[in-house]
Amino acid sequence: MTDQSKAVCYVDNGPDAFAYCQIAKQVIERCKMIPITYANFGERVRRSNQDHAVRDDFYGAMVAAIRFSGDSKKVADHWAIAEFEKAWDQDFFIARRERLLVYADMPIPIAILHQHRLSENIHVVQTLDDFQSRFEIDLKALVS
Amino acid sequence: MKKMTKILLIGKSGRLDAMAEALYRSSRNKEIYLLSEVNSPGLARKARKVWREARTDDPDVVAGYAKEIRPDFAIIGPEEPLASGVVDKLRELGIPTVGPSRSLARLESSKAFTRTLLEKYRIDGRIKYRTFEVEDGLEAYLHELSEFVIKPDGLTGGKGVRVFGDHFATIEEGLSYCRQLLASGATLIVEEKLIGEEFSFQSFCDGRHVCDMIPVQDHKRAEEGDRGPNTGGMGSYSCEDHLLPFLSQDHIDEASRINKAVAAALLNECREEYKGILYGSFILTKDGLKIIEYNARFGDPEAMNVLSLLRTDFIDICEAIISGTLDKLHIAFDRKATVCKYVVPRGYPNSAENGSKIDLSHVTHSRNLRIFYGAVSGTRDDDLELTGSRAVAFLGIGDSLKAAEEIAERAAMQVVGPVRHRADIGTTKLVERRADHMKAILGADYLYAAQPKRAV
Repeated sequence: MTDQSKAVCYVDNGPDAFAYCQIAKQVIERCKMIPITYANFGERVRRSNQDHAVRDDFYGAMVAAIRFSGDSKKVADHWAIAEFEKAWDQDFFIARRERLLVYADMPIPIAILHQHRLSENIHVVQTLDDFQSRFEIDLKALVS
Repeated sequence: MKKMTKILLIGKSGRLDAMAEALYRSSRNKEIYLLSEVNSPGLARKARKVWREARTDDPDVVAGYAKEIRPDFAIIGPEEPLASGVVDKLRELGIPTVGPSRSLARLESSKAFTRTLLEKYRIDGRIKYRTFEVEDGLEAYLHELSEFVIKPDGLTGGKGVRVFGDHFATIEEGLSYCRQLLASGATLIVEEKLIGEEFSFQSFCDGRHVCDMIPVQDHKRAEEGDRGPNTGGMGSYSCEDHLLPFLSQDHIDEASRINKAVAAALLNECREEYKGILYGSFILTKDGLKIIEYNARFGDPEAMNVLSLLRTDFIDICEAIISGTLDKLHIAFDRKATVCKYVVPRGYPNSAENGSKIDLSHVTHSRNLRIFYGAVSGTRDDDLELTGSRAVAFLGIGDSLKAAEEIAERAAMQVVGPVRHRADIGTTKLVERRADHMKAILGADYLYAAQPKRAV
C-alpha cells in the first residue's frame, strides 16, 4: 500500500499528458514524496472500473495536482473537472485550496475552469519547463 | 412451548441493524444478543442484550462472549471478523456460524486469491489482465483488448510510484508508455478498462446450494452526481420487478450463474463449504457482465434493501445455511421498490464531525419507512451522538421507485443536526441517467423492449 500521507496525486488529460506525468513524477520524487500519476484520465473513466482507484488516490493524497490543456473539448473531458462543481459546498480537501495545485495553459482552459467555479490559484504554465519549475516551487512550499 | 433460539449477531453500522431487524421479524421464539461498537435505540429494541464492543475482529474476545451466551448460532456482519478468523474460533467452540471461515473469506480479503480462483475455474465475467516483465507478447495483447489501462504491479522500486495510463490514442502510444515503464524496471499489469453500470448481486450460500437475492445499485461517491471521495455507500435502490433499470432478466440469470460457479469453485478449491453471503459486485458492459470484486458478507447499505423485502423467515434461512439445506427452502421477496439514503455527518468521509448531536424525533414514521441506526450512540431518538461514520439509514418501500424515494427523502430531510445526505439517490433523474448511459453503450437493441412498463 502507498503511504497516502506522503502521496502526491497528479492527474493530466492534456494532449501531452505522458510527458507532463513524467516530469511531475520526477519533481514529486525530488520533494521526497510518493508520486501517483494518471495520464489521459477523462470523463469516461467516471463510469468505469478505474474510477474507484483514481478517486481514492485523488482525495486520499496529501496533495492533488491537476493540469488542464488543449481545446475546450479536451479540457471539459478532464476526469477531475466535474469534482469542482459540488466541492465548494462541502469540506472536501479540494475546497481547501492549500492542498490543491492547478495548472493550465491559456486561454481556453482558464475560461472553462471559471465556469466550474475554479477561479483562484490557477498557475499558468505554457511549456514543460515552465511547469517543472512552477510545480517544484509550489510543491516544496506545501510539503517543506 | 416452542424451542427458544439464541442468536449472537456481531457487527456494526446500519447493516447490523437491518440484520437484527430481519431476525426480530421472525415468528420464531428467539433471543438476539448483539456485539456492536455502538448501542442505539434501534438495536436496543430488538436485542435481549447489546454489548458495546469495539474488538469484534478479535477471535478471543468474541469467543469470550460466545462462551457466556452459548448461542444456537452466530451471524457475522462485517468483513473484519471474517478475515481475522472469528468464524473458525466460534466453530471450534461448537457454535455454528453464518459467515465463511478465514480461508474462504479470502474471497474478499485477498484480491490475488479471487483473481486466481476465477482464472483457474474459467469463471465467466472475469476481467482480462496480464502481467508483463518484458515486452514479449505485449503488443499482441494490447490489440486483443479494446480498451485497457496500464499500471505497475504493486510498488515500483520500493518507492510506491504508481503511474496509470488510459485513453491511448493508438496502440503504439500505449506500447511506448509500456516500454518506458519496463525500462524503469517495473512489472506491468495491462488490464481491461470496463465502461458500464455497476450493481450488487448477493446470494445466500450453504456451501453446496446458492439462493439469490435481488439486485441493488449502490452509490459509493460522497456527493450528488457521483462526485467527491469514495465512501462505504451513501445509499442504494432496488426495483419492484427485481431487476434494475439497466438490467434484463438475462443479466440477472448470468449473475446468478456466476455466483453459483464461484461457490462451486470455492468448495473444490478449499475443500470446505462456504456458509454465508456471497456478494458479487458486477459491471454491465458492452461485452456483457464482468466481475469487479467479491465480498464475503452482506453489502452495506444493500442489506437494508434486500432484508426489508424478505418474506421468508430469516432464522429459517440462517439454519438452512448452517445445515446445508437451502435447496429445501423457498426464499421470496416482496415485489416492492426500495430506496435507502444514509444520513452522514458533515465532512464525511474526510473530516466527519464526531460527538455532535442529532435529533430524529421529528421524523414522521410510516408503515413503509424503515430506520436503521448506524454510527450513532444513545438511547433516545432526540439525543443521538454521531460517532463519525454513516449515521442513520432511511429506507423507503413503495410500489414504485418514485414512491420509495419520496418516503426515504422526506425522512432524511427531517433529521435535525450537522448531517447531510444524497438527495439524488433513487430519483428519476439519476436512475434515467444510468439507464441512458447503458443504452448508449449497448446501442439500439437495448433492453428497454424487455421492460416497457417500467416507471421510475
